[in-house]
Amino acid sequence: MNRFSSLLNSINDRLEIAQPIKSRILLEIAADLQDAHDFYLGQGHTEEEATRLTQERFLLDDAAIAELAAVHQPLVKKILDRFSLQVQSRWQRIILLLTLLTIAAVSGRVMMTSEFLADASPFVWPVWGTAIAGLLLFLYKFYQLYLIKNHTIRTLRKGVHSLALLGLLSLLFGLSGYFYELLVFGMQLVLPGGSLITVVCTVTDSAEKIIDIHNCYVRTSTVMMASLFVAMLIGLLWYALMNKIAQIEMAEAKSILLT
Amino acid sequence: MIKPQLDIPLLTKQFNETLILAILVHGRKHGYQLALEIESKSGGLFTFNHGTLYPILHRLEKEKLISGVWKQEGPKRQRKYYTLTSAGKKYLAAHVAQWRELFTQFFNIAGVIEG
Repeated sequence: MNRFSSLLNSINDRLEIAQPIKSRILLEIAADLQDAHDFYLGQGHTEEEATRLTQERFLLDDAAIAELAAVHQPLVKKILDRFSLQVQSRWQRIILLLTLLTIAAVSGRVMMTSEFLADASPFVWPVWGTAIAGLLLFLYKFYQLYLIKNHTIRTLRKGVHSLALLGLLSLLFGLSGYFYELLVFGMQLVLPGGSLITVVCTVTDSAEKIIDIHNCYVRTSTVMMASLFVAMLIGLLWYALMNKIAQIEMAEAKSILLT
Repeated sequence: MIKPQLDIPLLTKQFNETLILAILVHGRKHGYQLALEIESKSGGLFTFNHGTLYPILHRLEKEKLISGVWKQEGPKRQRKYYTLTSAGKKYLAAHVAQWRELFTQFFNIAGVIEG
Protein backbone atom coordinates (compact mmCIF):
# COMPACT_ATOMS: atom_id res chain seq x y z
CA MET A 1 0.00 0.00 0.00
CA ASN A 2 1.17 3.55 -0.74
CA ARG A 3 2.72 5.19 2.35
CA PHE A 4 0.66 8.30 1.58
CA SER A 5 -2.62 6.50 1.01
CA SER A 6 -4.26 8.10 4.09
CA LEU A 7 -3.39 11.60 2.82
CA LEU A 8 -4.52 10.77 -0.72
CA ASN A 9 -7.69 9.14 0.62
CA SER A 10 -8.44 12.26 2.64
CA ILE A 11 -8.07 14.42 -0.49
CA ASN A 12 -10.13 11.93 -2.50
CA ASP A 13 -12.96 12.05 0.06
CA ARG A 14 -13.09 15.84 0.34
CA LEU A 15 -12.54 16.77 -3.29
CA GLU A 16 -16.00 16.76 -4.85
CA ILE A 17 -15.26 16.87 -8.53
CA ALA A 18 -15.98 14.51 -11.38
CA GLN A 19 -13.66 11.80 -12.53
CA PRO A 20 -11.34 11.55 -14.43
CA ILE A 21 -10.09 14.98 -13.29
CA LYS A 22 -10.00 13.80 -9.68
CA SER A 23 -7.86 10.77 -10.57
CA ARG A 24 -5.47 12.97 -12.53
CA ILE A 25 -5.11 15.37 -9.58
CA LEU A 26 -4.44 12.46 -7.20
CA LEU A 27 -1.91 11.06 -9.64
CA GLU A 28 -0.16 14.42 -9.84
CA ILE A 29 -0.04 14.84 -6.06
CA ALA A 30 1.05 11.20 -5.54
CA ALA A 31 4.04 11.71 -7.87
CA ASP A 32 5.02 14.94 -6.08
CA LEU A 33 4.66 13.26 -2.68
CA GLN A 34 7.07 10.55 -3.75
CA ASP A 35 9.58 13.17 -4.96
CA ALA A 36 9.33 15.11 -1.71
CA HIS A 37 9.78 11.91 0.28
CA ASP A 38 12.91 11.04 -1.74
CA PHE A 39 14.18 14.60 -1.18
CA TYR A 40 13.84 14.31 2.61
CA LEU A 41 15.49 10.88 2.57
CA GLY A 42 18.35 12.43 0.59
CA GLN A 43 18.74 15.05 3.31
CA GLY A 44 19.45 12.28 5.79
CA HIS A 45 16.04 11.94 7.44
CA THR A 46 14.78 8.53 8.50
CA GLU A 47 11.94 6.85 6.60
CA GLU A 48 9.38 7.87 9.27
CA GLU A 49 10.64 11.45 9.44
CA ALA A 50 10.62 11.78 5.65
CA THR A 51 7.04 10.52 5.51
CA ARG A 52 5.92 12.84 8.30
CA LEU A 53 7.65 15.91 6.82
CA THR A 54 6.20 15.19 3.39
CA GLN A 55 2.70 14.82 4.78
CA GLU A 56 3.04 18.09 6.68
CA ARG A 57 4.16 20.00 3.60
CA PHE A 58 1.44 18.59 1.35
CA LEU A 59 -1.48 19.14 3.66
CA LEU A 60 -4.40 20.40 1.57
CA ASP A 61 -6.70 22.31 3.90
CA ASP A 62 -10.41 22.74 3.23
CA ALA A 63 -9.89 26.16 1.62
CA ALA A 64 -7.38 24.72 -0.86
CA ILE A 65 -9.69 21.78 -1.61
CA ALA A 66 -12.64 24.14 -2.16
CA GLU A 67 -10.53 26.30 -4.47
CA LEU A 68 -9.39 23.26 -6.43
CA ALA A 69 -12.97 22.01 -6.73
CA ALA A 70 -14.16 25.44 -7.88
CA VAL A 71 -11.56 25.47 -10.67
CA HIS A 72 -12.76 22.12 -12.04
CA GLN A 73 -16.51 22.30 -11.56
CA PRO A 74 -18.56 23.49 -14.54
CA LEU A 75 -22.17 24.21 -13.58
CA VAL A 76 -23.86 21.87 -16.06
CA LYS A 77 -21.68 18.91 -15.14
CA LYS A 78 -22.19 19.65 -11.46
CA ILE A 79 -25.97 19.31 -11.85
CA LEU A 80 -25.76 16.21 -14.04
CA ASP A 81 -23.19 14.45 -11.84
CA ARG A 82 -25.18 15.15 -8.71
CA PHE A 83 -28.27 13.68 -10.29
CA SER A 84 -26.46 10.49 -11.26
CA LEU A 85 -25.01 10.19 -7.75
CA GLN A 86 -28.37 10.64 -6.05
CA VAL A 87 -29.58 7.21 -7.06
CA GLN A 88 -26.94 5.02 -5.53
CA SER A 89 -28.42 2.02 -3.79
CA ARG A 90 -29.26 -1.16 -5.70
CA TRP A 91 -32.96 -1.04 -4.74
CA GLN A 92 -33.26 2.58 -5.81
CA ARG A 93 -31.77 1.69 -9.17
CA ILE A 94 -34.06 -1.30 -9.66
CA ILE A 95 -37.19 0.70 -8.78
CA LEU A 96 -36.13 3.55 -11.06
CA LEU A 97 -35.40 1.13 -13.90
CA LEU A 98 -38.73 -0.73 -13.51
CA THR A 99 -40.73 2.51 -13.34
CA LEU A 100 -39.09 3.94 -16.42
CA LEU A 101 -39.39 0.68 -18.37
CA THR A 102 -43.12 0.41 -17.52
CA ILE A 103 -43.79 3.98 -18.65
CA ALA A 104 -41.69 3.46 -21.78
CA ALA A 105 -43.50 0.21 -22.63
CA VAL A 106 -46.99 1.70 -22.16
CA SER A 107 -46.32 4.92 -24.06
CA GLY A 108 -44.31 3.05 -26.70
CA ARG A 109 -47.26 0.72 -27.36
CA VAL A 110 -49.58 3.68 -27.90
CA MET A 111 -47.13 5.42 -30.19
CA MET A 112 -46.59 2.44 -32.44
CA THR A 113 -50.26 2.44 -33.53
CA SER A 114 -50.94 3.75 -37.06
CA GLU A 115 -53.63 6.25 -35.91
CA PHE A 116 -51.17 7.87 -33.56
CA LEU A 117 -48.54 8.52 -36.21
CA ALA A 118 -51.01 9.38 -38.99
CA ASP A 119 -52.05 12.63 -37.29
CA ALA A 120 -48.66 13.46 -35.84
CA SER A 121 -47.25 16.96 -35.81
CA PRO A 122 -44.25 17.53 -38.15
CA PHE A 123 -42.25 18.29 -34.99
CA VAL A 124 -42.30 14.57 -34.23
CA TRP A 125 -39.64 13.97 -36.89
CA PRO A 126 -36.85 16.00 -35.24
CA VAL A 127 -37.79 14.21 -32.01
CA TRP A 128 -37.24 10.85 -33.75
CA GLY A 129 -33.99 12.33 -35.11
CA THR A 130 -32.70 12.97 -31.59
CA ALA A 131 -33.78 9.43 -30.67
CA ILE A 132 -31.72 7.94 -33.50
CA ALA A 133 -28.72 10.17 -32.68
CA GLY A 134 -29.00 9.19 -29.01
CA LEU A 135 -29.22 5.51 -29.85
CA LEU A 136 -26.17 5.68 -32.13
CA LEU A 137 -24.20 7.53 -29.47
CA PHE A 138 -25.25 4.97 -26.85
CA LEU A 139 -24.25 2.06 -29.11
CA TYR A 140 -20.86 3.67 -29.73
CA LYS A 141 -20.23 4.15 -25.98
CA PHE A 142 -21.57 0.65 -25.27
CA TYR A 143 -19.13 -0.76 -27.82
CA GLN A 144 -16.27 1.21 -26.22
CA LEU A 145 -17.09 0.36 -22.61
CA TYR A 146 -18.47 -3.16 -22.76
CA LEU A 147 -17.18 -4.84 -25.92
CA ILE A 148 -13.66 -3.59 -26.61
CA LYS A 149 -13.33 -2.38 -22.98
CA ASN A 150 -11.55 0.86 -23.83
CA HIS A 151 -11.35 2.26 -20.30
CA THR A 152 -8.96 5.14 -20.97
CA ILE A 153 -9.81 7.39 -18.05
CA ARG A 154 -9.43 10.65 -19.98
CA THR A 155 -11.93 9.75 -22.69
CA LEU A 156 -14.33 7.81 -20.49
CA ARG A 157 -16.98 10.55 -20.20
CA LYS A 158 -16.48 11.90 -23.69
CA GLY A 159 -19.85 12.10 -25.42
CA VAL A 160 -21.89 10.85 -22.45
CA HIS A 161 -23.17 14.28 -21.48
CA SER A 162 -24.07 14.88 -25.14
CA LEU A 163 -26.51 12.03 -24.66
CA ALA A 164 -28.20 13.95 -21.83
CA LEU A 165 -28.25 17.05 -24.03
CA LEU A 166 -29.98 15.07 -26.79
CA GLY A 167 -32.67 14.17 -24.26
CA LEU A 168 -33.12 17.85 -23.46
CA LEU A 169 -33.19 18.67 -27.17
CA SER A 170 -35.98 16.15 -27.65
CA LEU A 171 -38.00 17.91 -24.93
CA LEU A 172 -37.29 21.24 -26.57
CA PHE A 173 -38.60 19.97 -29.93
CA GLY A 174 -41.64 18.57 -28.16
CA LEU A 175 -42.45 21.85 -26.43
CA SER A 176 -41.84 23.83 -29.63
CA GLY A 177 -44.18 21.49 -31.53
CA TYR A 178 -46.81 21.72 -28.81
CA PHE A 179 -46.93 25.51 -28.84
CA TYR A 180 -46.64 25.66 -32.63
CA GLU A 181 -49.70 23.41 -33.06
CA LEU A 182 -51.66 25.46 -30.52
CA LEU A 183 -50.72 28.68 -32.29
CA VAL A 184 -51.66 27.33 -35.74
CA PHE A 185 -54.98 26.09 -34.42
CA GLY A 186 -55.67 29.35 -32.63
CA MET A 187 -54.88 31.41 -35.74
CA GLN A 188 -57.35 29.33 -37.78
CA LEU A 189 -60.11 30.16 -35.33
CA VAL A 190 -59.54 33.86 -35.13
CA LEU A 191 -62.24 35.80 -36.91
CA PRO A 192 -61.22 38.74 -39.08
CA GLY A 193 -60.71 41.73 -36.81
CA GLY A 194 -60.75 39.51 -33.71
CA SER A 195 -57.98 38.36 -31.40
CA LEU A 196 -56.81 35.00 -30.03
CA ILE A 197 -58.62 35.72 -26.76
CA THR A 198 -62.00 35.52 -28.53
CA VAL A 199 -61.30 31.93 -29.63
CA VAL A 200 -62.64 30.46 -26.41
CA CYS A 201 -66.04 32.11 -27.01
CA THR A 202 -66.39 31.12 -30.67
CA VAL A 203 -64.92 27.65 -30.50
CA THR A 204 -68.05 25.60 -29.85
CA ASP A 205 -70.12 27.30 -32.52
CA SER A 206 -70.05 24.34 -34.90
CA ALA A 207 -69.38 20.59 -34.99
CA GLU A 208 -66.53 21.24 -37.42
CA LYS A 209 -64.76 23.36 -34.80
CA ILE A 210 -65.07 20.58 -32.25
CA ILE A 211 -63.40 18.17 -34.69
CA ASP A 212 -60.64 20.75 -35.18
CA ILE A 213 -60.17 20.91 -31.42
CA HIS A 214 -59.95 17.12 -31.31
CA ASN A 215 -57.33 17.12 -34.09
CA CYS A 216 -55.37 19.82 -32.32
CA TYR A 217 -55.37 17.77 -29.12
CA VAL A 218 -54.16 14.72 -31.03
CA ARG A 219 -51.34 16.63 -32.72
CA THR A 220 -50.13 18.38 -29.58
CA SER A 221 -50.35 15.27 -27.42
CA THR A 222 -48.53 13.24 -30.09
CA VAL A 223 -45.56 15.51 -30.17
CA MET A 224 -45.38 15.86 -26.39
CA MET A 225 -45.75 12.13 -25.82
CA ALA A 226 -43.06 11.32 -28.40
CA SER A 227 -40.64 13.86 -26.95
CA LEU A 228 -41.21 12.68 -23.37
CA PHE A 229 -40.80 9.06 -24.45
CA VAL A 230 -37.52 9.80 -26.27
CA ALA A 231 -36.20 12.00 -23.44
CA MET A 232 -36.98 9.26 -20.94
CA LEU A 233 -35.32 6.54 -22.98
CA ILE A 234 -32.24 8.68 -23.59
CA GLY A 235 -32.16 9.50 -19.87
CA LEU A 236 -32.26 5.80 -19.06
CA LEU A 237 -29.38 5.05 -21.45
CA TRP A 238 -27.40 7.98 -20.06
CA TYR A 239 -27.95 6.78 -16.52
CA ALA A 240 -26.82 3.24 -17.39
CA LEU A 241 -23.62 4.56 -18.99
CA MET A 242 -22.94 6.94 -16.08
CA ASN A 243 -23.15 4.08 -13.62
CA LYS A 244 -20.74 1.96 -15.64
CA ILE A 245 -18.35 4.91 -15.95
CA ALA A 246 -18.56 5.62 -12.21
CA GLN A 247 -17.63 1.98 -11.51
CA ILE A 248 -14.59 2.19 -13.81
CA GLU A 249 -13.50 5.53 -12.30
CA MET A 250 -13.84 4.27 -8.75
CA ALA A 251 -11.66 1.27 -9.62
CA GLU A 252 -9.13 3.66 -11.18
CA ALA A 253 -9.12 5.97 -8.14
CA LYS A 254 -8.69 2.96 -5.84
CA SER A 255 -5.73 1.71 -7.85
CA ILE A 256 -4.08 5.17 -7.61
CA LEU A 257 -4.56 5.21 -3.85
CA LEU A 258 -3.22 1.69 -3.32
CA THR A 259 -0.18 1.63 -5.62
CA MET B 1 -5.44 38.11 -22.74
CA ILE B 2 -6.51 38.27 -19.09
CA LYS B 3 -5.62 41.63 -17.54
CA PRO B 4 -4.04 41.26 -14.10
CA GLN B 5 -5.72 43.20 -11.31
CA LEU B 6 -3.93 43.52 -7.99
CA ASP B 7 -6.35 42.88 -5.19
CA ILE B 8 -4.96 43.81 -1.78
CA PRO B 9 -6.72 41.06 0.28
CA LEU B 10 -5.56 38.48 -2.21
CA LEU B 11 -1.98 39.68 -2.29
CA THR B 12 -0.50 36.45 -0.91
CA LYS B 13 -2.27 34.35 -3.48
CA GLN B 14 -1.26 36.68 -6.27
CA PHE B 15 2.26 36.81 -4.93
CA ASN B 16 2.52 33.01 -5.17
CA GLU B 17 0.97 33.12 -8.63
CA THR B 18 3.63 35.56 -9.83
CA LEU B 19 6.41 33.45 -8.29
CA ILE B 20 5.15 30.31 -10.05
CA LEU B 21 4.88 32.04 -13.41
CA ALA B 22 8.33 33.58 -12.97
CA ILE B 23 9.93 30.20 -12.22
CA LEU B 24 8.29 28.71 -15.31
CA VAL B 25 10.03 31.30 -17.51
CA HIS B 26 13.15 29.13 -17.16
CA GLY B 27 11.53 26.00 -18.59
CA ARG B 28 9.00 23.28 -17.83
CA LYS B 29 8.63 22.12 -14.23
CA HIS B 30 6.37 19.84 -12.25
CA GLY B 31 4.59 20.95 -9.08
CA TYR B 32 7.16 19.86 -6.54
CA GLN B 33 10.08 21.24 -8.59
CA LEU B 34 8.32 24.62 -8.63
CA ALA B 35 7.97 24.68 -4.85
CA LEU B 36 11.58 23.64 -4.33
CA GLU B 37 12.92 26.19 -6.77
CA ILE B 38 10.95 29.04 -5.25
CA GLU B 39 12.32 28.10 -1.85
CA SER B 40 15.91 27.72 -3.00
CA LYS B 41 15.94 30.88 -5.16
CA SER B 42 14.54 32.96 -2.31
CA GLY B 43 17.08 31.54 0.13
CA GLY B 44 14.27 29.90 2.07
CA LEU B 45 12.35 33.16 2.49
CA PHE B 46 9.35 32.12 0.40
CA THR B 47 8.15 28.80 1.73
CA PHE B 48 4.61 27.71 1.38
CA ASN B 49 2.60 24.59 1.89
CA HIS B 50 2.87 22.55 -1.29
CA GLY B 51 -0.82 21.75 -0.98
CA THR B 52 -1.68 25.34 -1.83
CA LEU B 53 0.28 25.00 -5.06
CA TYR B 54 -2.26 22.83 -6.89
CA PRO B 55 -5.25 25.21 -6.85
CA ILE B 56 -3.00 27.96 -8.23
CA LEU B 57 -1.48 25.72 -10.90
CA HIS B 58 -4.84 24.37 -12.03
CA ARG B 59 -6.41 27.81 -12.16
CA LEU B 60 -3.52 29.17 -14.20
CA GLU B 61 -3.85 26.18 -16.52
CA LYS B 62 -7.60 26.77 -16.89
CA GLU B 63 -6.89 30.40 -17.76
CA LYS B 64 -4.40 29.15 -20.38
CA LEU B 65 -1.52 31.06 -18.78
CA ILE B 66 0.35 27.78 -18.33
CA SER B 67 -0.15 24.42 -20.00
CA GLY B 68 0.21 21.03 -18.37
CA VAL B 69 1.49 17.97 -20.20
CA TRP B 70 1.61 14.42 -18.85
CA LYS B 71 4.84 12.47 -19.34
CA GLN B 72 5.42 8.81 -18.63
CA GLU B 73 8.41 8.33 -16.35
CA GLY B 74 9.23 4.67 -15.95
CA PRO B 75 6.73 1.86 -16.25
CA LYS B 76 4.34 2.99 -13.50
CA ARG B 77 4.93 6.67 -12.99
CA GLN B 78 3.33 9.62 -14.75
CA ARG B 79 4.25 13.25 -14.16
CA LYS B 80 2.51 16.45 -15.07
CA TYR B 81 4.85 19.15 -16.33
CA TYR B 82 3.85 22.78 -16.66
CA THR B 83 5.12 25.29 -19.20
CA LEU B 84 4.44 28.99 -19.57
CA THR B 85 2.27 29.91 -22.56
CA SER B 86 2.74 33.08 -24.61
CA ALA B 87 -0.37 34.51 -22.90
CA GLY B 88 1.26 33.62 -19.56
CA LYS B 89 4.43 35.50 -20.49
CA LYS B 90 2.45 38.65 -21.31
CA TYR B 91 0.40 38.26 -18.15
CA LEU B 92 3.57 37.84 -16.05
CA ALA B 93 5.17 40.95 -17.57
CA ALA B 94 2.05 43.00 -16.81
CA HIS B 95 1.79 41.53 -13.32
CA VAL B 96 5.44 42.24 -12.49
CA ALA B 97 4.94 45.85 -13.65
CA GLN B 98 2.01 46.13 -11.24
CA TRP B 99 4.04 44.67 -8.38
CA ARG B 100 6.81 47.13 -9.11
CA GLU B 101 4.33 50.00 -9.04
CA LEU B 102 2.81 48.71 -5.81
CA PHE B 103 6.16 48.41 -4.03
CA THR B 104 7.33 51.77 -5.36
CA GLN B 105 4.26 53.40 -3.84
CA PHE B 106 4.71 51.37 -0.67
CA PHE B 107 8.32 52.51 -0.21
CA ASN B 108 7.39 56.06 -1.06
CA ILE B 109 5.35 55.99 2.11
CA ALA B 110 7.44 53.60 4.21
CA GLY B 111 10.63 55.39 3.17
CA VAL B 112 9.42 58.59 4.84
CA ILE B 113 9.16 56.80 8.17
CA GLU B 114 12.50 55.08 7.62
CA GLY B 115 14.22 58.38 6.76
